[in-house]
Amino acid sequence: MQRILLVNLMRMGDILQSTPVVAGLRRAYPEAEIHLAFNEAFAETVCRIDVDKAHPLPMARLRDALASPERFLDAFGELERFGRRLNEKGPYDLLFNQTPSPAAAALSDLVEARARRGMRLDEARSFVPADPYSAYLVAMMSNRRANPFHLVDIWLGTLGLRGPASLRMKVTDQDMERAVDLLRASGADPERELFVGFQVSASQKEKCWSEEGFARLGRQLERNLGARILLFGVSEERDLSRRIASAVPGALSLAGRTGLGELAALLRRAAVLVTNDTGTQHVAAAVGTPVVVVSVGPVFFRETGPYGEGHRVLQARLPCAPCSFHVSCSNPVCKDRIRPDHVYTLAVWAMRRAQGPQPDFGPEVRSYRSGFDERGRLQYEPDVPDPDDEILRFHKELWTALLEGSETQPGPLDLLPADPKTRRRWDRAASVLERASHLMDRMRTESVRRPLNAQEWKRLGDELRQEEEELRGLAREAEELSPFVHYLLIRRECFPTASPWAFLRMTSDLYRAAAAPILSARTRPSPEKGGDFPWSDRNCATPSPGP
Amino acid sequence: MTTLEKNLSALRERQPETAARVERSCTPDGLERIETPQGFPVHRLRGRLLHSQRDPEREARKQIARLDRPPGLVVGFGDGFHIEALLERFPGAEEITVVEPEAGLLRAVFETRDLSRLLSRIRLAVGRAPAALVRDLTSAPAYWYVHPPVEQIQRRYLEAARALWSYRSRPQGPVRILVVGPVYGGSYPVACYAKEALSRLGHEVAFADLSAFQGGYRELEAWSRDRNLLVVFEELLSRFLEKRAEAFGPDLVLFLAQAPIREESLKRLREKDIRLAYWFVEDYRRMTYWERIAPLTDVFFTIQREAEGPMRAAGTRCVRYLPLAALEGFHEPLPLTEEEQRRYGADLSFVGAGYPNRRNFFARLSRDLRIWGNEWEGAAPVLAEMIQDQGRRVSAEESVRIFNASRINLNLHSSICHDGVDPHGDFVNPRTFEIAGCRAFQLVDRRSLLGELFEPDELALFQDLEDARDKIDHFLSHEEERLAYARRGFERVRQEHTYDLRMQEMLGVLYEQGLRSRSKGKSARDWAQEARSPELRQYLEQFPAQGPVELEDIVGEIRKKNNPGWEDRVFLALMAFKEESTCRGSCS
Repeated sequence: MQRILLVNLMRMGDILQSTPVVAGLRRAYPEAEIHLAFNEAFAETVCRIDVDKAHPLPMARLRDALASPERFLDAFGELERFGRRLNEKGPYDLLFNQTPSPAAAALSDLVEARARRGMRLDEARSFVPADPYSAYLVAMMSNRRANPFHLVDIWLGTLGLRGPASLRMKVTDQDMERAVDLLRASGADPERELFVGFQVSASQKEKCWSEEGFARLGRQLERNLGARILLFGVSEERDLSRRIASAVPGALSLAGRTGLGELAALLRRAAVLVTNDTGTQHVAAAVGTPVVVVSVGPVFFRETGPYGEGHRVLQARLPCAPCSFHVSCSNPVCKDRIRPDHVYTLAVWAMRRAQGPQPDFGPEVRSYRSGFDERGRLQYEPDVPDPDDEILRFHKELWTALLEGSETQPGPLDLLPADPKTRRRWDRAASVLERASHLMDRMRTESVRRPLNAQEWKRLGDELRQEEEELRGLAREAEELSPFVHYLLIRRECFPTASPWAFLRMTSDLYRAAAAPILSARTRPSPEKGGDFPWSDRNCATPSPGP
Repeated sequence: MTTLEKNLSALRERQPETAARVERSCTPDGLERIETPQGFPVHRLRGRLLHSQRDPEREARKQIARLDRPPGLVVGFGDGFHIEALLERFPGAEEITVVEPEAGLLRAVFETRDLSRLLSRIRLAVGRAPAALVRDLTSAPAYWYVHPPVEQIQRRYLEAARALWSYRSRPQGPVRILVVGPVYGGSYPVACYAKEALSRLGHEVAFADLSAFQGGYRELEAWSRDRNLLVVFEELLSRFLEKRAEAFGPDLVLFLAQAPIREESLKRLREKDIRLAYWFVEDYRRMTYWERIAPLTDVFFTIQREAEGPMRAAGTRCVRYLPLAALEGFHEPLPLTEEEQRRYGADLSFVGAGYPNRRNFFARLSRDLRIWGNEWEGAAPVLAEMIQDQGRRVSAEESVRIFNASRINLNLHSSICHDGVDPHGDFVNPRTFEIAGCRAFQLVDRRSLLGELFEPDELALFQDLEDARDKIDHFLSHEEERLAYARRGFERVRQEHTYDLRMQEMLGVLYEQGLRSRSKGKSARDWAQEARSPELRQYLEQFPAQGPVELEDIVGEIRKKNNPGWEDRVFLALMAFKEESTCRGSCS
């Protein structure tokens, strides 16, 4: 029997987002035993998902022990026991570390496995992606706005699995009964009323829409639809929840009064959940309730929005949205641009699962609806077509070609950016890659023919560095190229260096393959200008000598 | 036989070397003789009476009557009245050691009173450096008897001795120290020297070297008059320093002047229970940013005695005077090649930046001078040919060669408000110690704080332009005198003014203020005994049995290995979790 281990040390939402991966693995390997290593704090979530064995890591105890220099042997004991337990039955057939942290990679390194995916430690103990999809995930950190793929699809892609998929979570009859009891005890009629869920807080205040916005929205929903607002949250969020509840007639503050089971059951009863970027949105998605996300600050719905069909997202139309990683914004205008009536309209659309004419909120706010593309990947389509999303389609095409083909034979690319300036940049990048690839082939073939002396190696190495520097320069010049360049450099870093010839061959193949879809697409006529592409002579690629 | 000869003869019988030292000493500056009604004189040194002018014997008896047992050590010989009272009160006491930092004072006292009986019953430690004194001591400062006027007259000596004692009797082993210097500037080398000295003392030291940011900082300075831009840059560096501190986990952070640390960062570091020391090695009157920094530190060290009052008044918890020094092993006599001698040698040299007072002074000096150093742009034509290498910056290593190669090193303290010598100048610049540390001869302008750092026969001083010209001419033709000054200055630096000693003193003060190693410093053996599994016990025993070992030490060793084993990998994972927690803490 095959044994597969997922290492997911993240929070509730991330664990729920693992469920399509588990389901996909079950379909692909029906006999396999699927294990999950997770943070003990989320045991309640893990017991509601479909894994064969769960291995809780006592992270809080570990961190406590590590906080005191006197207790690091206690921490050693915790971690050692954990590692030994996982290795008890011999090596796993596959280990997929989903957690993008050096700590999780180091933890995974303690577990014996025949194959590894996700983030890992290499021989030099550096934190590296083990596969192209994971490299993609790391590369996207340099410009997350260029990412067209949802995290779930990236994970599925890592393991060669396909969607469409959905989040899953067990909700028991007892959970449903307790939810009904809670509603009745609060004076609500669980059978006849229209419930709308609100999750008004989030893990960071930057991710939160305004308190006043939620209150006004609640009043509008109550007044127009007679909806009863249910405010969810943990006990620390009780004050905020009560404040908003007191401003909305009939609203119930349930913060701190529900376990995960009751929350899921209440969400199942709700017609829609309106939320900031939180774990609750994934619970709603897992129980089939449509979600409206107010996407503000650093939240990027394409990465981690609710997974499934029929969810809605609002985002301010600003060049800075969403914030880049590690940005601390002092003027979050994105929050002000989204008005309660925008959210109201979208909530009504979502709860009616309405099709037909799409809402148009004007130039300041954009709305999106979720669905699946022809390859079974989640996509958020704009309700009103937006030229800014054009480039994203190109990214999707390109990355599909690179990630779904093999690294030496990428798939075809039919689309190039419409903007001539942007196309020129991509063409330049492809040409540089071609030249670098050609140079590496020369280095390899010449050194096979006769041993090169140090000076010759240096000269060729300098030429190669120059090409790569031009590539980096392009990435600096145009943010949209940055993930592409980073991806190639990350992949190259991961190649074994024991044999310089093998390293050169692999890097050369990688570069050539990355250039190929762009170069082949440019030979087809442009949809706008009928083949009159503004390619400069300087950037004409040297014909590839072939692998 | 004169009184002096009688006293010296009595001393010579038991301590011939000390007698010789007293005999050759000069009268200290600011010493006056005052007659008393009893017919014997007492002395006033630098404005302070050593004993009662009305009845010194009675006063001494009264002071000594307060003691309930004989002290092991007396600091300050004064005119000897209190020592006589002490021997009278405790006739059977073991031999008492009397420390007198100034040999010149003793000589003056020996000239006025017959102390031969007294000298046969005590041991004199004359001009003995605080470090040497503390090294040989068995009794704590609480059991010393300090002659009251000495508290003021020899304040520096006593502070150093007490702090060195605190360091010697420190509660535990090494501490972790992060040294932070400026992006560039005069205090940068001082930061390097401090770091070096602390490492030599066996502490775990990391240096936050900000010199890598110099290019960016200078570019900003050059292109923008907007001070706010520089503040933003400093804020960035300040956050960077916080990150360095988080990663290193120091018990103490030592900042040098101009370190780009902001108040918010200091507050955050304090919240993490990290002790903060700052060595403000510049003029507190000219550079006033100390006002916002000093109150946030545990101990603020200054090179100006006069700064202590204003700094305390500004709310600083502890202010201490700590003069600069020389780095042993770096500032030292060097054998120079002929080429080096040609390149750097001169009758008269100066190393330093082109401050206005120096430009003015050197232009009028009318002597053949080689000027090394930068910031001389736009100097008067008469100086142009004196400036070496187009006024480029001279490295610390080159400075040492120049000091060694020059017959006279002119040392004029900088000033932006004077034409030449600052008549009220107080602090002593690093060059004074560094030249002396090279056993090189220097002519230095008079500074009010020099007197308690060097004896008059250890440094040749000048007080104005004319005096400087005379002394240059004199010393150029009196090589023996030059060599004697250089030798005595060198010995003083080695005994009292090295960075190793300064850092001991600094840490001594910080120990008094509660500095502790936050790890109890368990050794690998201690950890091994606590290990639950025999494998882990065996694993931990491979580390040296002595000295504290922490997770970081173990991981540091593991990272040197090629093929880490099971325990190695568990420790590496632990470290990764620890680093993640630290980051989380700082990001939240």
